[in-house]
Amino acid sequence: MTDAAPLSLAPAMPAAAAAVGALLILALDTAAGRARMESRGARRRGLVLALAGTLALLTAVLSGLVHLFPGASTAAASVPAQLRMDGLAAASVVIVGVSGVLAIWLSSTYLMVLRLHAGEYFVLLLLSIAGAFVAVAAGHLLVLYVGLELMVLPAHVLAGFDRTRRRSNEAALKSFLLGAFGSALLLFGLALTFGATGHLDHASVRAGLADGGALGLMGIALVVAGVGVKAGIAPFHQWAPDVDEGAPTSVTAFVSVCVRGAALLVLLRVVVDVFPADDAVLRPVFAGLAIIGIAIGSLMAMVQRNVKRLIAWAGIAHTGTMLLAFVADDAAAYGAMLFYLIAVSVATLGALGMVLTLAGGGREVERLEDFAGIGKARPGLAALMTLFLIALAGLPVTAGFWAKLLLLRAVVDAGHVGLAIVALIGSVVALYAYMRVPAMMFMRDAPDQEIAEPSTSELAVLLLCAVVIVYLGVVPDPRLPGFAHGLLELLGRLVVGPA
Amino acid sequence: MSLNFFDPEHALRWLIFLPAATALALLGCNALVAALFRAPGLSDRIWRAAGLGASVLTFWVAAWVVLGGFDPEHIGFQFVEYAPWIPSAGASWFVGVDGISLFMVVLTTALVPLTLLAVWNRVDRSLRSFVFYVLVLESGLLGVFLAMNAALFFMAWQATFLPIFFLIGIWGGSRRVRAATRFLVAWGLASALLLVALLAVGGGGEGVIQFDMVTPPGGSGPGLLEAGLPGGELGWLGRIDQAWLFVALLGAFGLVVPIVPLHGWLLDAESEAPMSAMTLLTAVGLKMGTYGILRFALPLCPDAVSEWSAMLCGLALAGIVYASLLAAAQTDLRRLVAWWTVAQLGFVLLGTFSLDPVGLTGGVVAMLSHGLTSAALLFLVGAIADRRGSYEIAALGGLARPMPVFAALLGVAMLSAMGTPLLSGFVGDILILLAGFGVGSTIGAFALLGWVLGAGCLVWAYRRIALGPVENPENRGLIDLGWRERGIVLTLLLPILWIGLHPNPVLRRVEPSVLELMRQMDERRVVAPIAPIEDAARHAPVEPRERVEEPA
Repeated sequence: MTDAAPLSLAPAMPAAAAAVGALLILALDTAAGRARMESRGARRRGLVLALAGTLALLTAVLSGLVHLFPGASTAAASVPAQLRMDGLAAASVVIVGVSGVLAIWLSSTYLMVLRLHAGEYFVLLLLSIAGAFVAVAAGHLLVLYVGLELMVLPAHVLAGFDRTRRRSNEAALKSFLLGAFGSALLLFGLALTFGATGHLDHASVRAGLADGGALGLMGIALVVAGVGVKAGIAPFHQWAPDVDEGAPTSVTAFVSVCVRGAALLVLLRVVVDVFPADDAVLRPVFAGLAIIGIAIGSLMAMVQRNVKRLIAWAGIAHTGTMLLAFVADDAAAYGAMLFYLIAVSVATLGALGMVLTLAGGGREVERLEDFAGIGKARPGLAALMTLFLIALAGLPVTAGFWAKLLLLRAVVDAGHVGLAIVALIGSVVALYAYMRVPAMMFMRDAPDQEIAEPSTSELAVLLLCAVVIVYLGVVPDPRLPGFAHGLLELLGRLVVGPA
Repeated sequence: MSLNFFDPEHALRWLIFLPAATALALLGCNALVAALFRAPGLSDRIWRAAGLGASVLTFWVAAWVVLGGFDPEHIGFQFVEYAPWIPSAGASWFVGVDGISLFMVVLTTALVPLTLLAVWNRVDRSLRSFVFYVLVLESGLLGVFLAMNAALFFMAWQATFLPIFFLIGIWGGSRRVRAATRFLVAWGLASALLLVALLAVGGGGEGVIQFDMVTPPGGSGPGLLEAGLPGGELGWLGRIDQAWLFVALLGAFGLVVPIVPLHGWLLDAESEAPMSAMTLLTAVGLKMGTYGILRFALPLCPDAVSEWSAMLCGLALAGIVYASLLAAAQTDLRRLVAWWTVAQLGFVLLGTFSLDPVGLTGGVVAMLSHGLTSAALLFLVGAIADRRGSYEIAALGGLARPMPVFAALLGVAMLSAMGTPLLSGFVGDILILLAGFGVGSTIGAFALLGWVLGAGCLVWAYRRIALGPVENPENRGLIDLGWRERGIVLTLLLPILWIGLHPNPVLRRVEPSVLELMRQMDERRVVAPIAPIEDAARHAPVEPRERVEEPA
């Protein structure tokens, strides 16, 4: 299969675009010399760098997007099967790339507020996304490993980017140590898999695993665990809340949406490509992981006093819920999972974007008490925040509502009513957790406090997120121009191929 | 008045969207004004007037178009609208009204303008968001009562959460956040159970996704309430499955009604909620539960319900007696109304679970009557609280002297509440009692006992509030109800009196739908039907007819 495919550089395009963008920013930043923080020059420079990053990412997204259209050569492979640009890879590139753009525009003003240097920040961010692009398009487990490492190493640095703050340093260290642990698991799994099957490219590993053998299964289980660490899947999640709390909020948004989202997409790729068909050993494991994630995530979210931690813990529950698609294992479930990922990504970007928007004048607004009275002082922002949170909680009329309904419907249709019940109980707990923030914003008064005016770029990103959430909440299955199917069916087909 | 400016066939979409669309339009204009003129947005007066106008218009659509155009002879749903929406989720825009939902719709649309009038200038903070939440809540409630697609129903169901949450949490009493949170968790749990049940039953197997409740016009496949019909392709659930399904549905709707062991959140909410939210929640919101039982639990689980009928009647009775006894012990007017509500909704459940057309009809009438009566009672309680700043019964006494109109109106409302003949409360209660005696004399006797207990506790409460000498000097100078307050309460008391004197127009519209409901249950029964239904069929023969007819 692999030798027959024509060689093409197309699968490497997104990663190349992001990497070139990173280099470009590095060059621009160096050429511009030093500028005093908070000067107009610095502001303008930040804007130019953000634009350059956006341009690079949009190029990457476009190069992925062309593969989504019907008639495109969806199986284009480069250096035999090591990178492939199929439907899933293209969709992953689009999802990660677009959320990367949003993360860039959320950062640009916030970096100024924190007096951080935009140049290095954007370079690291783009390099991390380049790694994500490699990992989601990988057709070979080693390439996948390299991509993942390239994705998470800059993320570790980003977590510690606010280097004068101890919490940021702590976040970086935790992120690095536990990330290294995950890499070790992943490498060990690769070694076992190679030992059992003699191959590391996805197709051969799958064929080798189909013959049975505990060693290969164990290897793949370790690979799943290794990717699970990066994706924040319980019980490999411990780093996520700490890092999310300690890192600068823009990094929190980037890590929790782009990095963890991409890792989840990589896991999806592994499951679809590598797992033997009708496998009865590994899939039930995902049911267990899902239950653990939903239980731990929503229960811990309930008791958090810090909104960034709350969103991180509830995000672990969301990741657990998405794992249910692996148990159901059909086109409807995978389509719903991708829709869920999109909905949660947009809503999380919005919610964390609001947290960083409210922070201004050097004061972080991240403890629950800090939100008291914001409903009165800034009703518009508070309403937007509420919208993002009800989307995360899965109430109508938001994308989150349909995400939950569609995914659970697929799970129940596959015969797993018990898992759906667990997910729904978790969602009630999460609903309570999320609604503590609006309760604080609207129902408690606080002495007048200084709340920063949102910058234009922040406001634009937040409004865009809100529009997407409401649009997908009213029309969750839009017929995209040029496609024969609605969005939901398209997403399902991207993962499992045409029915 | 002419209706030519829109097609009356589409009345229901106007009903559902008019309030929410007004709310969103107001919000948009507010933001626009704030952005363009650097003003603080539209004035409170505009919000209030627009909100009232929209809700009155909604009521007008409900009263004249729906009530006037409703054909009592027609079996099945009327004013049906259908459009596919999201096939992969089984969701469609499918709405219709029948005799069971008709009066819930009219009640909802009537109470919203009255509520807005009642709080006219008494909202102490942020009137604008108050109007916004009330209008959104109205749309959600109407969506629940009119949805003919389970996904749409669930969406509308969840859309009612946030408005009530904020109404309690922002304008409530000192422990409002706790009450709002408890409300949210209880209703969230209910919706989780509901979603599991709907997903389990709506899957249909083999990729057939069916959330439409009956076959839509131009659509395909038997609806959720029709699967297992002689002509249908799908068999119906076995008895074990039905039992689980019923437990889930009973839990979901029972949390909202609330059935007695699940009632904790209601007492919290009623003690803390502002009177406006409390009126809408008590008079209409709780009916989502009883309505859901009628609409989903009965036809989806006919065997489970009829097998457990006696047990369920016992559960309802236990609730009635327990709540009546506790109502007698209350010292707070709001909690008195709350416990009376629990008892009264116990009656509705008793009528429902008697599985007797008489009892079911009585249940629907009792839902309507409770809505009107509880709203009247709560407005009166609110009027007292406005004057005295307290809900303590002990602080009152002898109010008939300073406030004769108040005392008279409260007397009529309480008489209706205790089920006195010639008032609407009697119609529902007597039908339910008859059905109760039909099920078994013990059940009937206990229902009678609950009725007497409830009446006794209300009489006693009335005596403590209105009769006797004025002992508390603070009660001496109280001002009687103003014209606005009198108007609101009279608007509610007139239909109470009218239904009590002449219940036929209501019964005539409810009964065919109840019989249709029994037929739906009957046709999908796995085991043989039980006796009362055969009796019903004998008394009121139901000719074979089309399941859903095109709206005329």
